[in-house]
Amino acid sequence: MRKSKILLSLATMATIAGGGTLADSLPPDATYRPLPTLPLDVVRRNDEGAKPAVQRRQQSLFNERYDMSDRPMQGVKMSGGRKGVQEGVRVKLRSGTSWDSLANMTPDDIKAKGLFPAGFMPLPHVKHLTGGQVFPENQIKAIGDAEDRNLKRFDVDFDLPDHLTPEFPAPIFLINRPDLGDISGGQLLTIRNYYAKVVGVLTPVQIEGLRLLLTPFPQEEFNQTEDRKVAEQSDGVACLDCHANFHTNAAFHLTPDVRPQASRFRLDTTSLRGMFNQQIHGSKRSLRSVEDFTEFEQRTAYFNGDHVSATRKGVHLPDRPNQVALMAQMQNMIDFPPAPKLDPLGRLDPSKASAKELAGEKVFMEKGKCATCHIPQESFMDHQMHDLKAERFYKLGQVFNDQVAMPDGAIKTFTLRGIKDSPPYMHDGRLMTLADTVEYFNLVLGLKLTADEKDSLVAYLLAL
Amino acid sequence: MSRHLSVLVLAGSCVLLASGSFAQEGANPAGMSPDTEGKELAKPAPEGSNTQDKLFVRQAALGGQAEVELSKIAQKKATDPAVREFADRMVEVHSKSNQQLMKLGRGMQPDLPKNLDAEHQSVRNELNKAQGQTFDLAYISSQIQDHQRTANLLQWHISTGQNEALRKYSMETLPEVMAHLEHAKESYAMLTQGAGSKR
Repeated sequence: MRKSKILLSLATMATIAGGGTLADSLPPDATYRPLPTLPLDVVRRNDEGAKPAVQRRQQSLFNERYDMSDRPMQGVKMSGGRKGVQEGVRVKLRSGTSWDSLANMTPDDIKAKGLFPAGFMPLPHVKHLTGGQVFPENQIKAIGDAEDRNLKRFDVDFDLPDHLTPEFPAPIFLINRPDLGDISGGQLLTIRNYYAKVVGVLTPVQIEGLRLLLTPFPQEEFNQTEDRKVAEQSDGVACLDCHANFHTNAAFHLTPDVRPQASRFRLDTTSLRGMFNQQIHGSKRSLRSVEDFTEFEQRTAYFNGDHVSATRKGVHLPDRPNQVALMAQMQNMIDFPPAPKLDPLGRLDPSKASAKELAGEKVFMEKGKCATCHIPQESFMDHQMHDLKAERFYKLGQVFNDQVAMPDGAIKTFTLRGIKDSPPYMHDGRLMTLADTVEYFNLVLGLKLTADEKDSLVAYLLAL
Repeated sequence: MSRHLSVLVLAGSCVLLASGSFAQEGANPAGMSPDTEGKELAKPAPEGSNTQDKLFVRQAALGGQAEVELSKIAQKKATDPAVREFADRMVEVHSKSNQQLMKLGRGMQPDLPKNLDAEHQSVRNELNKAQGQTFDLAYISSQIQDHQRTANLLQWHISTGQNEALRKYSMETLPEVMAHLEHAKESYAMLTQGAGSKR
């Protein structure tokens, strides 16, 4: 009887929902990018006027959330040997709490008392309501010098200090030529220098793929229309402007997966190392091949997932069999950096690893539950998307620097191979160090790790 | 001349408010209303508004009005005490919120609706007909849809609005609306013995 009533009321609901007049539906700019209302010179003047305050505002958010100081570990370098790895937990605790006291509270309790560390919340873009790609100074300078192409925006600057980003330029390792080691020669690959570096090393198909990956095409903020954020009419950006040397230079963007703008995520550039073993692509889109990703990215990373805007600014549509396949094959040649302490199945070799690293591996496999998703023999991935449900710990809808804190939802498992080379961490770069990631997962998964276990876990991650 | 002066004074006071910057520092000026005061000096006044602000006031008023009116029916007709309590809270909170919205939006001549829109009128008709548990479920279902829409509307306004006081209103209202949405989803789960929303 009760059941039939429910069915009846569901039918009522359907009638109600089927009204069709939509008097209060959202306007189109809640989904589509609106056309600018003002000439570029006025927009630029206002953007430049606001820029100092925009940068200050972001810096104060960082300083509120994190210890941003430059504290490299003793005796640890990134794979190219050119940059240190930052140590220690950088996320600041709320007053009156400790990592242990938080670990012993329930998510509901932490949420009700507002004690979730702010550094564990989604990280806003430096200018969230505008969004778009933002490049670090080293990339801007290198591309300016090599190609006379301007990657500097007039409205925002890159917001992280250099010591919290990957080494630049990153080394390049090839899966088809493990005999060679780093082939970058300590230089950034550009459209001006790539050929001499790779002829005799790569196949013709791969070299053509590389050329396309280095060729700039119009992008949402870097193009020739008035709807741009670069002073001169721009040729655009290249794939490897963010995935510099097939790794990441920590350039960031907003994901195309969520609208309205205020609730989109910041996206820290993902490394392309180990692409050959990766089965799903895009943090939330779960594209099933790197070919799909390479093709679709011309409208997503390049145009915020708005194909209407892309058409106006000049979209590049790589031909699937003749261009996409070549670009994809090139990406699939990029190896992880060497990890001499790992055996062929991704486990530590006890004759090479330290006692602390081995203890860390044990935590990783058992109490820490890390290996549930980061499976060693699968390049520390599981080819799945998972929802950590971090919003159990904080109140939804709060706004930080114009970003609305929303649930992240399911995000793909990223590899941990070569992870010391890829700060900052998480899809949006909200965590600055590996020690931060250990504290994050300790809380979010309710692991209750001891201080020793956390330390050994960091030591293990450095060996991957 | 005096008008020009007052713009300068306004710009000056806003510098004080926002500690050394103008209030719209976070917005994309490409979407600024062409008649924005102070834009030529790159110092737009925080109390300027664009068409999105104006549209927001209208749409939010439409939703707010329906919210109160439909919840008043539920105050009288709901069977489940938890649903009745929810309706009480909606009437209280949204009445207050509507007043605040009207105060902030008054100067914008937002083309306010006199009556409920057609969609909410048909919801009202359904609610007037429904009884008992069917009523409770129909009311809560409509609340879920309305709060989904309002949450999206507020996020859109935070994204595109230009008037700082109104954007502040949206930012303050959003967490509350999202909490109501959670509450409504939990009530729905309770009434249907379904899965619920607790993550």
